[in-house]
Amino acid sequence: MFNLMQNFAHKAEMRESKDEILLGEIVRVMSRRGHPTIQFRANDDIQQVQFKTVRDPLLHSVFITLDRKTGSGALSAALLGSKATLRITAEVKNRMADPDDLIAMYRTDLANMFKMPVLGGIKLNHEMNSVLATLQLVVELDHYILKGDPGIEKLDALLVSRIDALKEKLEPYKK
Amino acid sequence: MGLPRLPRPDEVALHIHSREGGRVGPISRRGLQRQLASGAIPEDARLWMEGMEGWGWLREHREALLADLDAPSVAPRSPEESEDDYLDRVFGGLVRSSWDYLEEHRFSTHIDEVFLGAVITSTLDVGYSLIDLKSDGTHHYLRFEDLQDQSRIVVRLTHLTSGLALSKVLGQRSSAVIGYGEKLGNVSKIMTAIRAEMKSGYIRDPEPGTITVDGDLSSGYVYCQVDLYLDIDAYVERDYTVHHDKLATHIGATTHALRKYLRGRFA
Repeated sequence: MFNLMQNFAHKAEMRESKDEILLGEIVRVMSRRGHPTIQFRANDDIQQVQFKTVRDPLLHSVFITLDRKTGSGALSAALLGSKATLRITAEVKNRMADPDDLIAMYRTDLANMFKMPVLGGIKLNHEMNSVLATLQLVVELDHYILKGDPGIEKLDALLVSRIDALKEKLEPYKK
Repeated sequence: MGLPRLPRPDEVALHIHSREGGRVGPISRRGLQRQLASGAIPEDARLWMEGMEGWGWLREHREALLADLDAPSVAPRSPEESEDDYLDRVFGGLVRSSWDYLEEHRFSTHIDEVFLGAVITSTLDVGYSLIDLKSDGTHHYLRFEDLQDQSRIVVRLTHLTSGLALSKVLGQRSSAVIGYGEKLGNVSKIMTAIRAEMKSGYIRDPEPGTITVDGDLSSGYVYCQVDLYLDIDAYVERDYTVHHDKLATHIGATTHALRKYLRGRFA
């Protein structure tokens, strides 16, 4: 009886931990690509990690935010799967030092204030010295975790393709 | 041997080595200029940057590396230059040197998070999965599980020297509690662990090497954990290079010792 209760508790814990398992794999994939972590913000439901894109001539950093939406409980996992939104933001940093450039940047900041992110699309934003491009997608956690190397390769391909898409949008803004 | 390219003034790309000062860097060209002026880097130091086949003499590249550094901020106003352009140029120089400072300050603040990511990567590489993560920027908590044998590793990390001044004086240090847990599946053994946990509670400041015990009746896990102080500089270089092999060996040795203790005590 004791073992049965423990196994039940363990299964529930593993179900709740799927987003953390994916985040761990994201950290490892990014690390293998030469992008170490430089910031963690993590609590029970949402995790954000910032990666330093060392030696990337264009990007300064990438933020990845994972927000668990379904599948924490047995019923919702069975009905809806284990879904989370994955938000990827790539940042270009321009070291603005010319007052004329600063004025131009301020106007763009203001124009971007009321823009909202669109699911699947890429949103561009200026914040002081940074130009940010963001996309958001819904992922099924089970497609990438607990599947060994094929799952990791799929995750790697997903991250690389999405970051490349963001880089393409940001390239004209690098000064 | 020539330089493969001239780094940007604020780009941290130069590694310096001297008999007196040991290895320094990577630093930017502006950083090199400051350290040469203060005497922290001697004239007979060696230099290396990515793309060079080996270490070269700093004196052979000194002129090229420092040539244009003062020009944007301190060069006097020429007759052709308007006052507006001149003041913009002076302002630009002030902003650029501020970026130098900020980059160094940021690195000293987030090096623990570089280390945390390295702990995750190294632990995943030996077959564990991350199952819990909590972080407020200074205090970090990680829990891993080997999904085959259900053993667990727990890491609690606190950055002790956040901030440039403190890290310059003491180096980058952190306190770490590393734990290893197994599911015992036996009520009496877990109760023994919980009693041991209560005794562990009387240890106010565990010293390095003190192994404390923790038990969780609901999950059936018993953990043994040890307090350590780690020198993050030994694992993370200034250019964000991480010594994963060294880190994996150190975590592996610690969990090996804890596993032996746990099995010896509760088997």
